[in-house]
Amino acid sequence: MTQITDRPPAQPLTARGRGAASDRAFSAVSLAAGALVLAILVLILVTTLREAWPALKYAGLGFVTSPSWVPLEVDGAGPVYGALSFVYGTTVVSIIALIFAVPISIGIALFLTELAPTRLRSTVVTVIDLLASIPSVVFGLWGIIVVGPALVKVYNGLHGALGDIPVLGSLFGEPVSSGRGFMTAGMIVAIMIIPIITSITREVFATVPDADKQAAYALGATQWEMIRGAVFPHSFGGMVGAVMLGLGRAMGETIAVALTIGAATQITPNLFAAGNTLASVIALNFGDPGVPPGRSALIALGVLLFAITVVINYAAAVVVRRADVRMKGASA
Amino acid sequence: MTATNDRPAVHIDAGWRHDGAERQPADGGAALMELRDVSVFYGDYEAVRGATLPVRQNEITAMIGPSGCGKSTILRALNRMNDLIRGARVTGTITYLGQDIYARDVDPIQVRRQIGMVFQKPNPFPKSIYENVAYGIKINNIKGNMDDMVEEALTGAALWDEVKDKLKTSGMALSGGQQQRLCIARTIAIKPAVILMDEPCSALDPIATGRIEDLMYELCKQYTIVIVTHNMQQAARVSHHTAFFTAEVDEKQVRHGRLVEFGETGRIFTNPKDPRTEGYITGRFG
Amino acid sequence: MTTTVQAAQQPLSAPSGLGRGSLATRRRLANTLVRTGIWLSVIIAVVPVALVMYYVIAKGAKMISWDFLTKPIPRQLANPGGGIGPAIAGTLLMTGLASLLAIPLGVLGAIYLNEYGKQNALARSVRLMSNVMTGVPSIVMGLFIYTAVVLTTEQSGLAGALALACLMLPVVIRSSEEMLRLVPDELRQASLALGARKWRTIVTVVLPAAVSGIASGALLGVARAAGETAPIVLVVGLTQRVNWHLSGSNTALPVQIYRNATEPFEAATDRAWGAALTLVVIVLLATLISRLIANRFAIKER
Repeated sequence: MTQITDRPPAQPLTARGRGAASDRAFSAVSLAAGALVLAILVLILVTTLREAWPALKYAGLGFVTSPSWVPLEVDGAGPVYGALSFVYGTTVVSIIALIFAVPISIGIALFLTELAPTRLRSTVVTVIDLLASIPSVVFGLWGIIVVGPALVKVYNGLHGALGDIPVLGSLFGEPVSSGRGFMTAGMIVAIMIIPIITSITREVFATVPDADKQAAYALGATQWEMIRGAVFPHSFGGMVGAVMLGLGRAMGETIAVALTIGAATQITPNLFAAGNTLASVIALNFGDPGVPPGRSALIALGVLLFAITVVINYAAAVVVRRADVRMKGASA
Repeated sequence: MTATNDRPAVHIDAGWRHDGAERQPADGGAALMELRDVSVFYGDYEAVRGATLPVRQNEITAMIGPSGCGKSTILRALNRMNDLIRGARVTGTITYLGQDIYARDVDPIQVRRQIGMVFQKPNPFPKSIYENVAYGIKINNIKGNMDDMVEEALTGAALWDEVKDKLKTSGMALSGGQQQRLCIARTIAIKPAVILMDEPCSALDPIATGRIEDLMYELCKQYTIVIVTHNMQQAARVSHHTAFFTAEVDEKQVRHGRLVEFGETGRIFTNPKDPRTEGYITGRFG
Repeated sequence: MTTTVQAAQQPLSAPSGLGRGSLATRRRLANTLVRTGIWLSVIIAVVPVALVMYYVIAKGAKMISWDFLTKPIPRQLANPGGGIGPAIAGTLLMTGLASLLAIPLGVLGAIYLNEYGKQNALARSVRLMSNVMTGVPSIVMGLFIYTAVVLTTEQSGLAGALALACLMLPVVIRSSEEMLRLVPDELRQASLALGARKWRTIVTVVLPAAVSGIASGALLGVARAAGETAPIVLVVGLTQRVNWHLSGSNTALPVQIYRNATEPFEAATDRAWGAALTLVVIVLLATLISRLIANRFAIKER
């Protein structure tokens, strides 16, 4: 019954060689690919800041405090580079977009997690995916040719009805005849950020433990009371993160805004007036940046936009992750 | 979990599967592998402390004990699968044919090439049955006719007759017991010297378990098998030698796995030297 | 939870019984109101999608012809005639090259995160930073390539492809890592226990198990990149003729939509709708293929 001879001959265990080296090479290559992300982010900052420097030096502190942007020599006076109007425009458009998009997105997310019949759910998901995949420029085209002109009547109506009321009247001022302005751009951007806010809030809602929901129902809660009592408190952090991510997208949205905002450098409370955002002014003027250092000044606007969006996205990522950890901790 | 589960433990020795076959192989147990004072750490935590035992050639060595006693941990140390866990390290020596498998210049790939493993949950690749068996042969550049080698391995795992007509179908489509035999076929296709089995039947029904146990007995004519099982009857039925592990709390209130007793299976189950072994196999604790 | 407790006490004053009428009117009203609001928000989201698709198809379809898809772009956008051939070529060229760059690098990056780095400090920061990078506005990516590449070379299809690749990279990394995470650890262990090296385990077991999910996610990234306008406007320049070379000025469908949209002439507007329909078809085709691949994957998993 001795079977020693059936056993394969003992082989040395130390035959390292090409095999181990290929393992090390593969892990090094994959590490390099991963680190590329960090390298690109650093490079973005370095190269854009280098090109933006002449304009930043020229404009000084006025770059962030001045509302006027005159990239030409006027009557012997040099160009003026002040980003404040564009920061204002970016803020106004983003706020309008969030006001429209956040409730709708939360509504859709609730629909998908709590309300929707199974068959309708996949249809709505498909529509939202479709919404996400339509390119920004197509929304812009639709906005400039269809939405803008159509909204002018609405804007005129609102201006007529509310224009004489002290505070509201200044918000709903005289609209631009083409309909292009803060409000139109904000609404187009709202449509475009609905998918991202919806998908994240939906994920957050899906993590609410069934036990919590059933506990609420068992106490005799209506669906809304259950949502308010069990779903919202549990997912508040994640919702904040989702809104911040939406804000980041809204601030960076370029072409759709460039087409629908009307391109004016001004700070006005009138939501129907034309304006410009940091992103749109770069796209609109890059081909014709004015006298030097005009292009450098546009790149400087890009640096400003980069800094703002990185801060917002970083914070959003941290908030979402923290909410995620907390929820996982709770369920474990 | 097997059909014989409710049999009184004291009669276990009568469960030896193969009446007439000798429990003790004729070579008298030349040790193929030896563990000397082996401890396994996860970070600072010492999961198993100071185990010493031989693994004899062409035998089935069973490791039994209550959960948390470190038997699976020791098993995974035998082919350096513990390397894959961050912070895991082994002290003491584990030798295979006299070579220390944890020596600095040893390539764990070569260790695993010769000391194969079958896992608790059947884990065929999401590839065809044929590809599953051929995988290890390709990876290890084994020369020969691939079809023949695949057939030989499937035959060796007592699966050939059931799958010979559907070699191109996915390995995931087989039943649990068949999947586990496919995993065994995959392992013996590269002709290792030792096969480690980590509770190979715990996910299977009694009939599938029986077939795997029969298969183990056949395999040990050619291979050396180490099996971890939580099922004492299984150890009693199939193994030649048994190592009994338990979990103990030391003076600092930290739990460690300890090897309590190692010996010939019949003796361990009928005449244990250590009261803890006796307590466990007669069901007093564990 | 306190709100539900308070709310649950209210029915004491309401008429007892289990019918709908027994619930306090205010609570019932609030619930109905919210349910209506939820349905309404779905409808509000569906309307613009339907409208955009309607206009793109209605106004774009009449433009589509072989000539329109292949002819060079007219020098004067105000004049009718000409086509968008060079833009289609440019979109295919740049998106294709961007995919060739970003998909392998992204998958490798995901392999680093899921198979090697796992939870170490570098992997965690790469993961966080690729989330941040996903949110970097595309115009900023355009400025980056402009300052890093165009200033030292020229406006070209290569620069456009690089910008698109930078935008795709974090998307591919994130979606691929998700897919790699779904591959059960048992498969890796089985392969390693057979004496396979880690890289062979990854290439021959892990990647094949995740390939359809990775392909699906990557294709979504490709679709997104094909619709990008802002960076292309900055770094690619403009041409009226088909340019299959990586060097020299090029153009793309989104750029043509953008340029034609800003012209107040009917010929330009029509051309913009035609180009928009072409772009939407390309993007939706990629999305659809991605869906099909993902569905096949789901069946296999089961």
